Amino acid sequence: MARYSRHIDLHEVGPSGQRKITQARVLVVGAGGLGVPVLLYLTAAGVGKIGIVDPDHVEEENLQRQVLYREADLNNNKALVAQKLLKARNSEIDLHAYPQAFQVDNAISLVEAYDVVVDCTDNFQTRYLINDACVKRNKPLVFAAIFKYEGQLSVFNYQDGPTYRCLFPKPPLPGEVPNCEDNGVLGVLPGILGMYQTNEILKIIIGLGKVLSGTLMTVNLLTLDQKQLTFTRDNKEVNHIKNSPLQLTDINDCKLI
Amino acid sequence: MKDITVNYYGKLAELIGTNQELVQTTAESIGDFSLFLRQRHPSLCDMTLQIAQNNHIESSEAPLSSKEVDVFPPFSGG
Repeated sequence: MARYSRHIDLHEVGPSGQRKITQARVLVVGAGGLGVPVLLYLTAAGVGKIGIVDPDHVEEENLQRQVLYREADLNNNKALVAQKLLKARNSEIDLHAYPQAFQVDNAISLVEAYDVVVDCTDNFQTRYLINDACVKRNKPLVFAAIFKYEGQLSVFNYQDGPTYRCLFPKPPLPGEVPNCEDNGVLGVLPGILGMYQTNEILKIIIGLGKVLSGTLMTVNLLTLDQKQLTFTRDNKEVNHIKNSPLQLTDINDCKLI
Repeated sequence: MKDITVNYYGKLAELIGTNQELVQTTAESIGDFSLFLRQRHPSLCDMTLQIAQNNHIESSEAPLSSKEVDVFPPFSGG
């Protein structure tokens, strides 16, 4: 445990807190801009079991912000590359690579095998699916999303707190909100938001501080403004998800105000 | 007429060309205010957005009671 002594030295963490980290199981969906810092710090912290879900390959334009990957990793699957590189950093932990998309047919079995789920994806359809699977299996979901120089952070479904659908019940129209591929993003932005996600994950695991449940934190890197906006659980929305079969949210058919 | 300072986030600020503006409105509820903003800025017409006042995200039925509101879309990037 010498490698974790700086955690153990924190009297709020101590040996029992580090033991909780060592026994924790965390599923990271998406090993891109947000997923990379989350994975690096979870690995360093000694989280006992980490699942990495990503069907994509490392591309040259990823290297500007996805700092785990090297030139030699280009064209290789991100989940498999991350598993290999993280294992070299911490051989004591159990790393599972899932080089596949998070989909209706694997969502429940993936979520079930972990204690905390982390949304590091870049599209609404997967974000709604992760949320719904977490609601069905009662797993806390640590969320972040980014746009150019701005980020949003929250924790959903934590101790019966609000869910992603309580914050945004209606998915946007296709193309309404572009992802980094179409829009550009300052490289440090997902790094900063991913670290905030990891902070929430560790707080949940250890039972430290105040978890960002029922609150959306917004961050703007150009002004350095941060805000915390509270929101409430919509039981009708949550019960509907609990009682319906898991399905893809149809982004095309949604009707907006 | 109420004077309201509106803070815009993400794509909404980009569409409008500023991240803050002062508006005058007769809107009584958050839902009315959302419609008012969409009429004032046709580029927001089809955008998904939420409105917060006093740092709380409100339903459309809630009365518009604050002098400053935050208007934000969902972000998707990761």
